[in-house]
Amino acid sequence: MTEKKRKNPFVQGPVSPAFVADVIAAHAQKTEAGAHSIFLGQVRADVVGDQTVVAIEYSAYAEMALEVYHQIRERLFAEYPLSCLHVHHSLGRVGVGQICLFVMTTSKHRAAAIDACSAMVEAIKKELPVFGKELFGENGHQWKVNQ
Amino acid sequence: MAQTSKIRAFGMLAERLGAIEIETPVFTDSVQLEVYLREKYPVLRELPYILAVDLAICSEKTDLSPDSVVALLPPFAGG
Repeated sequence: MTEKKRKNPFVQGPVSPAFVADVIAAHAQKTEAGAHSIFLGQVRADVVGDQTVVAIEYSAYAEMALEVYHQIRERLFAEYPLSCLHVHHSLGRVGVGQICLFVMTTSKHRAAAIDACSAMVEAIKKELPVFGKELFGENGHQWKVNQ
Repeated sequence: MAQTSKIRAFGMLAERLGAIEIETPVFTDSVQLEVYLREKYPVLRELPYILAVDLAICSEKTDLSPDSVVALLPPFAGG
């Protein structure tokens, strides 16, 4: 681990749209950038049998998730000419319709921003030890599994 | 006193095992540990899981020491 302070991508509860707007606004300073790509993950009201998901409760193996997250960051910075890479992933309860994942990549041109954003989302889903309990209101839960 | 190791369990596995941490004897490699776990906790024979050793996924036989950090992880669901 380097001396540089490591970024923690996890936030408690949903990511607010206002926060997303603030992050976008803060990039006005980055005048060398020409492209941002943003992905927002939202909790979906999946229907399972006669029950509907009302929220997902996220948890993580935090120590490993941070380690893996930094490996992914290093990999993406090596692979794409990015100037910024922001990830905010919820832990705890996130209701249907709320944002649980916010990824934003910044580059000089669109291709790198779009491709890196997509690669980050795929890596998060495949590699981060994050677990999701899909809650059915008063009627129990099931465990989410990424496809 | 016999040495033991502690293994953390997450998500669905913690729920089904009824514990977020289980104690095991000390094993010298991950294969021996898995044989023991499946014997002692039959639920692990029917649930999908992976083993993590020292914060990395353990996909092949890996040496363990008493200081190894081992965890049982259910399928990932981030994003």
